[in-house]
Amino acid sequence: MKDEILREILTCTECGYCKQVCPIYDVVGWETFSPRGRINLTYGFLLEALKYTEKAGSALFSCLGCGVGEIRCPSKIRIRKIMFRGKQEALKRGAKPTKKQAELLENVLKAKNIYGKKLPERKVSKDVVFFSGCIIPLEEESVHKSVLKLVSEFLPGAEVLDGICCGRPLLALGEVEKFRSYAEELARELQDREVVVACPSCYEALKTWYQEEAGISLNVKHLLEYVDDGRLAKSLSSKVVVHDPCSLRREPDVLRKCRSLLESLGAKVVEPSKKFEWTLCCGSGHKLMSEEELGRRVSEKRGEDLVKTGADVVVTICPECARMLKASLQPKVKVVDVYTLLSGAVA
Amino acid sequence: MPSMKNNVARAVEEIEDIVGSGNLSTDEADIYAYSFDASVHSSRPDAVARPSSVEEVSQIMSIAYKYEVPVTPRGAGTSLCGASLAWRGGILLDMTRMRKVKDVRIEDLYVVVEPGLTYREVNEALEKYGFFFPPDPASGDVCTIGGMVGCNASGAHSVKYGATRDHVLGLEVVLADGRIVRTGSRTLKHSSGYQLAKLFVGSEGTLGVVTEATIKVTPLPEYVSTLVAFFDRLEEAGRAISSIISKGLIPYSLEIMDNTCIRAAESYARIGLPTDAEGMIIVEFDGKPSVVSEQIDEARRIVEKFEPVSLEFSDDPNRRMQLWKARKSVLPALSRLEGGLVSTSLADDMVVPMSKIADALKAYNAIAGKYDVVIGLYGHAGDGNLHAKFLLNVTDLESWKKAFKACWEIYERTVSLGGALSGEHGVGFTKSPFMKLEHASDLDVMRIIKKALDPKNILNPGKLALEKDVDSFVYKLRYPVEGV
Repeated sequence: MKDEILREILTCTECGYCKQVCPIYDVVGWETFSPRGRINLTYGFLLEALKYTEKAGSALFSCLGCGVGEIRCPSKIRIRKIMFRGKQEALKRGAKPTKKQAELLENVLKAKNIYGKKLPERKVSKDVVFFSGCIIPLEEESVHKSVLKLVSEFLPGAEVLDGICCGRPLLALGEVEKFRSYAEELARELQDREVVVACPSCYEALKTWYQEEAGISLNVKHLLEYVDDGRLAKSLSSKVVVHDPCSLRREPDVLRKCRSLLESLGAKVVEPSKKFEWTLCCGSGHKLMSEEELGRRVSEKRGEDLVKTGADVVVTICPECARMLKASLQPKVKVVDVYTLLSGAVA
Repeated sequence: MPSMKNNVARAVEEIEDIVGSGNLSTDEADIYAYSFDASVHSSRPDAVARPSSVEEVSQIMSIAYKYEVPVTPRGAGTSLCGASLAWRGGILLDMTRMRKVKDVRIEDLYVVVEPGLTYREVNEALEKYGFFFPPDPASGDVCTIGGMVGCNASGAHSVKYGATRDHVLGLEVVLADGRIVRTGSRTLKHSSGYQLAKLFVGSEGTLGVVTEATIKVTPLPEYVSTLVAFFDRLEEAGRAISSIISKGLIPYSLEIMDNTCIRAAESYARIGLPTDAEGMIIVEFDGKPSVVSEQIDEARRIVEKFEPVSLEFSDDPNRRMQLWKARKSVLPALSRLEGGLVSTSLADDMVVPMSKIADALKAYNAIAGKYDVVIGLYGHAGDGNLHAKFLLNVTDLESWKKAFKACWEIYERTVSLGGALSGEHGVGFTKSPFMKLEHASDLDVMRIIKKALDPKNILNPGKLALEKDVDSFVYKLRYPVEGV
């Protein structure tokens, strides 16, 4: 069988174990909105056995891309790769992205950031590049300041590449070919350098999806890996819980480092039931969730799990997670990003 | 006489009034998504309904009865034999909205639950009382109580504590014509008339729709200890198991895996299993630590007589969790093992008398060799239950034909050893062709019961060979196979 995705779907035994962990299936309840359901919708398209309906599109585009189903899958089915294809096939058959998604796509293609903001063309020359992505610098000004402070303290020789989208939205919205071209272009700047990022979504895109979808291998590191706890002042006495972002679920070293840094600040770190590889999505789906109400319900569930720990502060590594969780948890519990805490403690 | 299609349309319209438009769908996407379970088959319903109460189920059945429209109940859709597929179209009842724990009566040793709860959720509800519902199917994180009742599911702990049927004290069931019956009791035993609750268990939705189950609960074990042994011959592993049982030891679990399954489990779980071993057994005992320790010692003495290559002991809950994660992943993990071959459930659930385990293992491997098919053997061998997963080129018709012949011989051999087609997965459609092998004299009685309770044949029709003998399982395959 030549089609790689069809072969992948045939390998799936349909055991349904992925249903247990899918946050969207948990709130919707219809098989169609489960990982297995969405895999089968893709299968139906590939076999020309399923006519497109709006519901098929909704179900496919409701996937948050959080990847937890892949962790649960004993057959190691690459569910997200199947979803990229499923969305691609849905688009071919008439699926329309939401207005917000369409705008975002257009912005990335035109301006290389999701906001459509015109930025000067940048070239990099140094061996170490801090790739800030677009969300942090263009939407989260104060977080960005904190991030840049950490970069200047712990990566003094790095060149900052600011405000450029990693291209992930293209892939997540089923524009697989456009993602490949975009990745190839951006990789010309980033290849053969050490690429350091703070945004988890960019981290996973550059490290994993560039390799898997575009065959591009980049040397990607996370900013937290460079933060030296010996240079941090004790500045926290609260009980904190870390919300691990989906995009780092396969990066236990980064997640452990986050906790140890918080402990260096003096915080008592408590753990939620869903953490590390089993972390539960915040509901944002990298800003691409087509049905915001579903995202909000997922966010509330995630919030409940975090609050149950009795922590005073929820610490996030991803700016999008922070935005979602602030909406579902504040003012009950304070939500703050780890970069703000760390930059405030740099001695 | 209105056409069947008209009947379905009318029934759907009336059912929508009962469950509400958000809980009924005829959308192609839903129809397609619900046309699969974990079996090799696919079959589309005409509509999917998601009732939330026994009253709604009752009204749905009355409507379906009036219009003679098939109704197939479904839990998580984890059936390995097509039991949860709408074989003749009609209404697929997704029961997962009915998910309440209605009553926990520890002093009376039972819990009352709705059918859409998962096995795991029931045990989570019981844990704080120090009790559990023991069977432990591998799919327990997702499979529902309704599904477990439907196929009389069992699992790792059934060797000691029994299958679902042994724990069901009573049921609430909606019959084909919409009547609600409560059968069985809330007592640990009763002798007042036919044990109808036990009849509904394992009937795979062909006699009624289960809407509530009263389930006996058991104290959680105080302590569990594990012995794992690896062998260079699978039959020796089988003999070790028969010997443990014949010495009067009743383990908490007693599992077997062949080399193919060891490799599959290791490739998923990465817990250091020796991938060159030909056989592996997991033996566990539960209870007071001092007693468990004696039992483990005795089991070790027995196992050592069969010259294991290595032994491992553990009472560390983390190690046990690793071992079980590996064991429970075998079925799906097999699909990644042999380049391009897919794990299929065809002769997946034989059960033989415990003394025949080694004979059965030997026979199954010989049959696989004869037909040149790859199989992975594993199972809850302590109660004689053996799963043979066929690894197939699923798009090739010849592979299917060969697999059918091999399955036929496997089932013939199983029955000649005094065994049965299924220990816990049920019959569904996949095992229908083989029903006549095991049930030569009582299949007619089953058909009489079916006719009496479901005269219009609307409840999960097309399953268990209840309508007529079935000649092959190579039918309605979910794979793109030329010529099917």
